[in-house]
Amino acid sequence: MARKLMNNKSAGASGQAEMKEKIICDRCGVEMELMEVQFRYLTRDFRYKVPRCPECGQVSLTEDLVTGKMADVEAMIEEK
Amino acid sequence: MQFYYEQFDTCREHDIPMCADACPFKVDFLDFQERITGGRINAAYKSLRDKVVFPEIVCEVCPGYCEEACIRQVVDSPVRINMLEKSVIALATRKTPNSYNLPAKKQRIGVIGAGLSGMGFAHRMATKKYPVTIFEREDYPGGSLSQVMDRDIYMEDFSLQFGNEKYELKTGTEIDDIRSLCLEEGEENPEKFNVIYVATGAGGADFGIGDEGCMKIGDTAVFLGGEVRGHDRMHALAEGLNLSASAEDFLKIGKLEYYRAGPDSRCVANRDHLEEKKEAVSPAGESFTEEECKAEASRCIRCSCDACESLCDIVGFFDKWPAKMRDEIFLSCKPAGSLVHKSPARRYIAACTDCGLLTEACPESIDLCGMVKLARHKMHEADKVPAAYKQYYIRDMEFADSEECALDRVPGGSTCSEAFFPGCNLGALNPEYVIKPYKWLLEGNRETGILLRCCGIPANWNGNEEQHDREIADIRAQWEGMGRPKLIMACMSCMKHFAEYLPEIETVSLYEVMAERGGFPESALPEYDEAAVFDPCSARGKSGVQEAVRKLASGAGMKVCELPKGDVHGCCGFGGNGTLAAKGFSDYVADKRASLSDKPYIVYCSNCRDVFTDRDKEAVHILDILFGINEKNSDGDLTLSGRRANRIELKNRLLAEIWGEEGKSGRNEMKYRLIMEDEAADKARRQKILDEDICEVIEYAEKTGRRTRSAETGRYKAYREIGAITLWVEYTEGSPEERHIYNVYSHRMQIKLEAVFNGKKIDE
Repeated sequence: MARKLMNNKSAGASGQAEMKEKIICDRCGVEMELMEVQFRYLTRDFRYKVPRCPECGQVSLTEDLVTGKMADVEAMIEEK
Repeated sequence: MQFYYEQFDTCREHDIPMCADACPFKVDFLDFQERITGGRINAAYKSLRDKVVFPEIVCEVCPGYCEEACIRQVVDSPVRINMLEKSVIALATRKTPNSYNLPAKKQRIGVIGAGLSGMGFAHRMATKKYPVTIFEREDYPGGSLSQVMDRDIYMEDFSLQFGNEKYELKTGTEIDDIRSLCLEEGEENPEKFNVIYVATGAGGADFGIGDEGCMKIGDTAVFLGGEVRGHDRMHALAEGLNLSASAEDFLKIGKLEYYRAGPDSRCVANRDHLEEKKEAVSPAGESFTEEECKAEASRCIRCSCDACESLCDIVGFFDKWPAKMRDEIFLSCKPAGSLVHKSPARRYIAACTDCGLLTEACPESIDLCGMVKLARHKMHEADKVPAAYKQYYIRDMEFADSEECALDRVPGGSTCSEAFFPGCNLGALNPEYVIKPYKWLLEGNRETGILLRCCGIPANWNGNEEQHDREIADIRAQWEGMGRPKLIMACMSCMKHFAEYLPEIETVSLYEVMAERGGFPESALPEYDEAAVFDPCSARGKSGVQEAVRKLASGAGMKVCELPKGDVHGCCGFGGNGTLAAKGFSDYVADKRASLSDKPYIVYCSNCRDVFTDRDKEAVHILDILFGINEKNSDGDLTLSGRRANRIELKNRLLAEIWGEEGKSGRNEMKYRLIMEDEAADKARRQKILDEDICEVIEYAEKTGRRTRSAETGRYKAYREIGAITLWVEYTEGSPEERHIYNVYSHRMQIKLEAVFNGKKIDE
């Protein structure tokens, strides 16, 4: 259920965050790319595409994603 | 839990309003008037006709029981329901009854007496397609109606309503022996009847049917009803209509039982809706026009028992009525391993401010507050409370109890008869709030001790019984160590909490002590013409402290007024874990409380002051006035770390100023000096993020290099899990020890990085 929520709603059927700005991994010096990462909340796991460093796997989440969709999913899971 | 669950059986949520309850036909006047105000006159006519069958006759003859019951007469006059009915009948354009395509029934119905009751019964049975025969002694139907109404009018309504139904009317036929119409056991006879309704009118024959009103003669069920049983015309008609259900029960399942009315409605009108006077509309003509109908219908305050909705913030915000909440809470408390593992009530159980108003306000005293309290414990046991809900509050409690801030001491000795218990938030807001009253107390009694710590309430909000018991035991031990003094309480929530969990401790509010002793040389008045006293929810009904605060404020020269409903209001929004558990809930509560009056507030709970100051509602603490601490709103932008620093400063200053000792407590020096953008600081405060947490994120990022940089702005972004939340910080480096913070945000989901990525180990 949670996977459906994260993947299919408002951010488009692509199930991924948008990359509006150019973000550089400070350690590897390379540009971040959209890649899947695993999230977990209250015993539920799901994957979602977010900007990650292709070298070291470091993640960068935007405030829009965190306060928007992630907060909605958190609230939804809490009520389940 | 079962104990609480069963209390809801008496909930009045679905009880009909008094007007409908007084009506013999139980007409749903709320629906009727809603249809009128919506301009649906024909639909209003239909809803009336469905209930009374002969609307024209009824509104002509009915004495208006509904209007007698209308609560509006307390302030002006009852809603003119009878005139509304007449007007709807006059205005309706589609009065032809619906025709239902039902299969014809074989069982035959006999009715003795074609008065209003008999005709009503006959109509109900005829619409269900039973063959109906009515016997009437006179040459025309109507019975006693002919004494009060023009025969043409009621005959017109009869023929209109029977328009689609067939029935046989035998006038001039008097029945002497009812047995001749009844089937003998096992008999089949098309001349006889399966059910007979005897409605012979006032003083008519009852054919020996007893008080029970029904009996079986052979295979036939005989019911007695209407004016012959002593009813007036309206109740007689209503009885005829209701008995049609009993008759059908008999025909379908053979059950012979007289219709019994349900229990009386216990709906309580909310008189708050009656504040405004609205005189009844006088029709320009004989009846209302459509506009006049709407105007009159809008005078209805739509009575229903809404005590919980109007007073409980949880019911209001989550838009859930108590019976639904009961089910959700019950479900949420199931152990985590059970087959049912849903927790729909998780958020509001945590968010509840624990103000206790609902149980006090409920006319049935349903203890939903108690149920929520128990649910917190059950959910904690079942490990269903998200850690992020409680993290901040528990850390705050632990900090307040830590060596850095907590203090229990007696000047010049080890025991005392009186000690000051300021609570943990007062000093966090401003150390002066504790130091000045304490020094004042010492002037009255040089040996007044001080017990500075948290009262343990956050552990109780979380339902963590073990931790709460520990807190309570610690407080008890400290209190006993101080010689079991009487505690002078500055925080009403602490006082309420002690009364419940530490009843052996004698407590008195600081404000009562102050009102009794007097003498405040430093008092300073805020520039308010008049201010309203906002009693904290924890002081509801506590007249002693309430009077003391009013006396203190007016004694200092303030013009004091009351809130519209005095102390009958919920929490200011501080209580419970609402700030973190349910987005928007605390704001909703705080806004509601802040708008109780346009006047500035005088508060005597530091939490209330905190909440109101935060939303720019003018509020002063009574200590502000008496000790000249703050003139008006200030420290609204106090950061959480600033609060912590205040607590440490408080302890150090107390030690220095009272005991002449060098304060040993030092603030944990942070690695960086943070320069926060206003917006970021505000976000951190709202999300309960400490400066120390932000430093931890930056420190980790710079140690490991795990941070990203925006190509456009050059700002770094890094995250770190701080307990149950993941905190993100956007910053730039200034000097080596300075960091400029542009943004902070947090989430509760965990990012689960792979152990190995791209062939390399991730050093999380």
